[in-house]
Amino acid sequence: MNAPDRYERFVVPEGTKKVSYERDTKIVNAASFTIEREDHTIGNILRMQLHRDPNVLFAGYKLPHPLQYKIVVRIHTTSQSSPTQAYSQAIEDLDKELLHLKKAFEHSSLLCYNAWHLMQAQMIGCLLMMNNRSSNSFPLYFYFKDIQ
Amino acid sequence: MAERVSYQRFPKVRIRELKDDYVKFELRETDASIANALRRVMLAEVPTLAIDLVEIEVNSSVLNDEFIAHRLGLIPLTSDDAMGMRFSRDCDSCDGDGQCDYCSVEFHLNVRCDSDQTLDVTSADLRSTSPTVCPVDVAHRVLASADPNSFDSSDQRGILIVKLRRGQELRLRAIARKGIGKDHAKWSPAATVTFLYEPQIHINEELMETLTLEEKRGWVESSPTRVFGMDPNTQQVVVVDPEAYTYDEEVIKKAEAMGKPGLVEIYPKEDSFIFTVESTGAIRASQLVINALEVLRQKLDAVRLQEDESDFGELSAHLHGGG
Repeated sequence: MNAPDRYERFVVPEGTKKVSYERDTKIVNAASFTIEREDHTIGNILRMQLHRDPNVLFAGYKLPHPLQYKIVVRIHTTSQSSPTQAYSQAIEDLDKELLHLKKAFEHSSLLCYNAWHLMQAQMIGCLLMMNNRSSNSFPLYFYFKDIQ
Repeated sequence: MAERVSYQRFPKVRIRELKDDYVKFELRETDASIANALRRVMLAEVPTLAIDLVEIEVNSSVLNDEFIAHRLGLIPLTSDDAMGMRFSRDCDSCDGDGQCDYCSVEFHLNVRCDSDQTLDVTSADLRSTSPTVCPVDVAHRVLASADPNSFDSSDQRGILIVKLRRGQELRLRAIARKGIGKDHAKWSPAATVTFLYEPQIHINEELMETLTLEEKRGWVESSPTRVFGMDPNTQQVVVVDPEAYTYDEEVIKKAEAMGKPGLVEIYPKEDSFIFTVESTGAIRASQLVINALEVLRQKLDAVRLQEDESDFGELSAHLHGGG
């Protein structure tokens, strides 16, 4: 069989740069970034974040071919900025946004989880009192789940 | 250096429902690109463990070796440790043959049927060499015995692998490895991940009042999903469940057909999403979202420009020039 290996989709081949940068020869402040082994996941968030930057005149990405596992991000900026600066700024901002989102999610999931556990602990406490039986499995299990 | 302005957003999250294998939450103040990236990462790039290498010692069952190996691969394994493990291709303490705890977990299966009754070989027969990694249904059964509110454990028999008749035997060694859904769907921790734009519904009350009761009922019924309803007391049309709207525009077409264009306006809120995430059980649904965000951050980190790549010459030239 001559099918390409599955890992080729996400493993950067040795000797290849993850990101390479090529300036436009005709237009100042325009450049293309070729990102190896990435797809719409990264390309689209990067493009949308670049659109938020008022110094960016054009930002777009393309997946040149479905069997070439790379994307090309093209950026054109005003003279106040440069493609590399806009690119790095976009990544920086996205990273901060995702960190914020992660903390926000962790915070609210912890609240939900604790509320659920409190309810359950009370329920099981009631059951234990009703049965008036000592059982080791409940406290042990709660300890196990709480530390996870 | 010019002062860098940040164009960062601060998205809001509200969790509506949280279970071990299911989470429903609202994501606000961001755009569809983030929502879609999150969905894509949850489906294809959050790592889990799955059986990847099978050495069959004895197989006298009716299924051939590769058939059984494929079935073993599809059994979801508890993968809480997967984020901290190594991919076996990057592991330098072994050659990925299951001899090292950083990248693999070994399983053994040894079953023989000696009775006249058909013997079911299930995921419960797999013996793990790691205390934290086992088939998810086995883990649930252990927890469910202590906790009546956890997963629905109506099926106590485990995941069926093969059936044996008298004299048949299955003996094998299987190695579970860390992987991602992009490589093979067996590594995907997500059963389903969906998001929808929150619909904003405006009813033109003035125009609505010009409708007869019969017309109102007809209009409410024209929606294939139950978005609108009638208030039993005031006989007014009310929005029952905006999220039931599937953007089918049937109610808008109906209003036009009734000669009342503009009766209702429905548009998606571009910065507001409702996510539903269902996990296979390999990792908890809430952990799946958190891991996805972490994986996405790692991906972004990997595409940062390296020091030698960024064109500082060009940048300073601009700043000194007219910038």
